[in-house]
Amino acid sequence: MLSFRQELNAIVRQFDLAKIRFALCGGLAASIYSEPRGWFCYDFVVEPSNVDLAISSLAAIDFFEASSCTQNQILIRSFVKNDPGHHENLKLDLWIPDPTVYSEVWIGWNSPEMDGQLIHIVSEPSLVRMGRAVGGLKRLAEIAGLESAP
Amino acid sequence: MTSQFPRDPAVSIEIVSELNRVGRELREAYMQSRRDELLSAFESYLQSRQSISNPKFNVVLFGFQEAWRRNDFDVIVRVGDKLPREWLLRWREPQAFYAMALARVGRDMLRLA
Repeated sequence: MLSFRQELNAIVRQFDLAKIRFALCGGLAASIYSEPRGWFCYDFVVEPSNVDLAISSLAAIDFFEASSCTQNQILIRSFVKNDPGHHENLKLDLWIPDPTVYSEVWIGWNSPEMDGQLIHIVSEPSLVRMGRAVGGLKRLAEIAGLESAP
Repeated sequence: MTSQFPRDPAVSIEIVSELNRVGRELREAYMQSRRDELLSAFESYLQSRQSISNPKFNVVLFGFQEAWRRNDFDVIVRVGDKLPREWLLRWREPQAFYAMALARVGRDMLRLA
């Protein structure tokens, strides 16, 4: 079975090598500021100018694009990596917020270290704002959790 | 967005468990990097003579973890007594520290019932 931790490290290493400016957002980032909840997807925010590089970096470790959508000026491009042993996919969303609307996303990051690598995480207010913009029941539940644990 | 859950329940449990472990490890690293700030805020909770109306999750959790490491259960109980009941009921990890500390100091858990 694919290891979520090893894959996370591989993604971060790829992005670092490509000098992509990126940070974790979504459920995993929310768990830093409150209690971890169940989720099945990595979420990374990247700048529009880095999208092509990010896609190439992900392709190099066998993540391939599956779909895309836009919610409130945030483009989300979804990728999967097949786990042949279990016929399941690891899922990853690249969030590309409009920089004129979400300029604050790029400041106030926290960067804890895991396995010798810095893992950048968007600030709590940015996480809440983008989560609310993207919506979805699970996302809104995460936001409710964050807001009651400020 | 790719929001669908894995089809195999066993795989779901395995993935969620690993994701939770990674999340907790990252949170621990994050809290350690802000150790002084969190402990200072926790100390202000401890010294407060009023109930804590808007407790910060990471401040309470980190303060409880540190106090537990020192076997300082009284500190956990003193801060826990000032936390809103609804807040304690919502957040399982601080609640667990508080409940265990209450048991260690010989108090019952009526407040959480």
